[in-house]
Amino acid sequence: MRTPLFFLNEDSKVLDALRNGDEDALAGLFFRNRSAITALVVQNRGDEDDAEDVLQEALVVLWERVRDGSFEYRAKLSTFLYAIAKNIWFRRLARQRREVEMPDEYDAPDCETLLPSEEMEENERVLAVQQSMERIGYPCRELLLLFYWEENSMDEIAQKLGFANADTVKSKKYQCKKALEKLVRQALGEQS
Amino acid sequence: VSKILSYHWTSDQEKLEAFVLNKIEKKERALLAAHLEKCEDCSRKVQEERELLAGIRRFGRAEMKRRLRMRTRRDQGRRFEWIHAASIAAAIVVMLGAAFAVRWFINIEQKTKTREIILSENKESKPGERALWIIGRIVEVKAKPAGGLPAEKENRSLADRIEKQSEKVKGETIAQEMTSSQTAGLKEETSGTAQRRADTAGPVAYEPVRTDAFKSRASSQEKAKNYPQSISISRSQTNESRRALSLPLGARESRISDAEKKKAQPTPAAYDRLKLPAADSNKAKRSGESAGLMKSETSTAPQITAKTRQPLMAEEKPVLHSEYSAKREMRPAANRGRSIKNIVVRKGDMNDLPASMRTRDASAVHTRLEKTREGMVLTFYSDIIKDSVATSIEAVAPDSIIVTFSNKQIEYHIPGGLGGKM
Repeated sequence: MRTPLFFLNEDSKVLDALRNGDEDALAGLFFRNRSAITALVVQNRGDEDDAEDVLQEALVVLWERVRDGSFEYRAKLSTFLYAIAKNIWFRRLARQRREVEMPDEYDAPDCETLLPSEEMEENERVLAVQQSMERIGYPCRELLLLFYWEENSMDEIAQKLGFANADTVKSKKYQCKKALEKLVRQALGEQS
Repeated sequence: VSKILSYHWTSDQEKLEAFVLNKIEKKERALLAAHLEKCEDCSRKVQEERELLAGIRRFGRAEMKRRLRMRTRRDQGRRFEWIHAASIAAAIVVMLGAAFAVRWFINIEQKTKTREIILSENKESKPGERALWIIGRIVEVKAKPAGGLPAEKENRSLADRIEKQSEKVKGETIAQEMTSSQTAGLKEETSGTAQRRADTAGPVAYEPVRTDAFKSRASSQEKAKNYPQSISISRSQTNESRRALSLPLGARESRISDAEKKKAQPTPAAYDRLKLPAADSNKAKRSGESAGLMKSETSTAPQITAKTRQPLMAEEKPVLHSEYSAKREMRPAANRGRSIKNIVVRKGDMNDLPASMRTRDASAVHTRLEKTREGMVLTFYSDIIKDSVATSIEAVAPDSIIVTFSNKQIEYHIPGGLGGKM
């Protein structure tokens, strides 16, 4: 199916903005897609707060995909966001009530392919790492996020955080990682 | 391969991170994964690295979501404020628009009530003629108006007064005693007033008016008592004396000398000014009898009252009123070159009135106005006015007339004036 040119132009602008780290583009997508996602969630035992939370989560997924380069433009961004939001919401419903009957429109395979892996969500250590990240200070938090979450290269991180070069970033990253592990161990009550 | 499989690669931090971040090629990744199956310590290190990665990403998503929530709520507030401002602005615009619309409609209504609606391209217009619609205002005639009685009553009272006047004047051969200059002065004073009154009164005669100059002639009054009771206008009477007796009322001219006839005979231009029908004016010219406004009577009986003009009933013929004196005085200079000879008022069938012109305002009389070389035709459409015959038509301004019926009047503003072009 041929995508209308103006949608392509509009979406390409948004994608360029996301690639450049412009979070305002995400906010724009939020307002443009809120009514559709709200309708989806409200029609499936949710409320407007749930819809807002689901949409924000879907936007974060889009952000991750675009930032790590794994996003492939196959449909309009609104369609992509609707599919992700639908999968997130139905997964939540399934988690809340295992016995819930999935609607006909629920597409389970998409859920696995579109959403980030959550096999470690319940892992105690993962939660400890998340908590420790809140306690770790600047620039370690940003450096670790840029490296592990946004998967930037050392040169990019050096440029963004103002380090002299990639080696300096590499050295600093090692220090930050050790500091985080220490915080995680403290959080888990482990003694090194 | 065996060397690679036995190599504990997890001690290499970069390789471990690359493996977890899936940044190693498939072949190498398969070999490294194969080592993990044999090396429990290495597998634990990879698991710890994955948990670290998952925790950092989880934190990153939560942080991103938190920032996005803050941003959207802030923007939502801005959008809400903007929507409020836009709503207020829209409401103001709507209110202003409504105010202007109301004002516009009021203006239109006022114009409809007071001024003409020009519909030159009306379907009813005949080829070669331009018709326009005007709206008259109905005025109830309840009491005696300030300017005099209603036209019909005034006509009757005028006729009565003139009849009495004629009897009174029979005993007054005043004219014989009046000098030329005195009668000329009297004529000047009487002619205008009498003509105006007679014109507005319709089928009645002019009424001689006693002026101060007239009354001041005490000796004349005394002498008048000695004169015969019947009026007798002899050939020896001067023109002035006859004019003093209001010649326009139809003084008999049969006894007037030929020279006097010739002198008194109005010019063709005068006939035009007097708005007499062409046939009448020709007849008057031929007879050479008329020295005043109307056809002269040939009877020998002395009469003060005389037919001034023939009223034309709307049913038979359109009512004809030539308010020539008013027009002559009030008509703008620009319109003097072309005069309206007749004003015809006639009642139209309400069924013929276009639906768009039917209004709830009962006092508004839609009237079709046609100005032609022959005259002005006013066809009015009204349920209120039952009369089809107008009692009188009075010009009250160069561009305004009042048409009087039995108990109502219609005020009209005539676009372009009484004699102007449409």
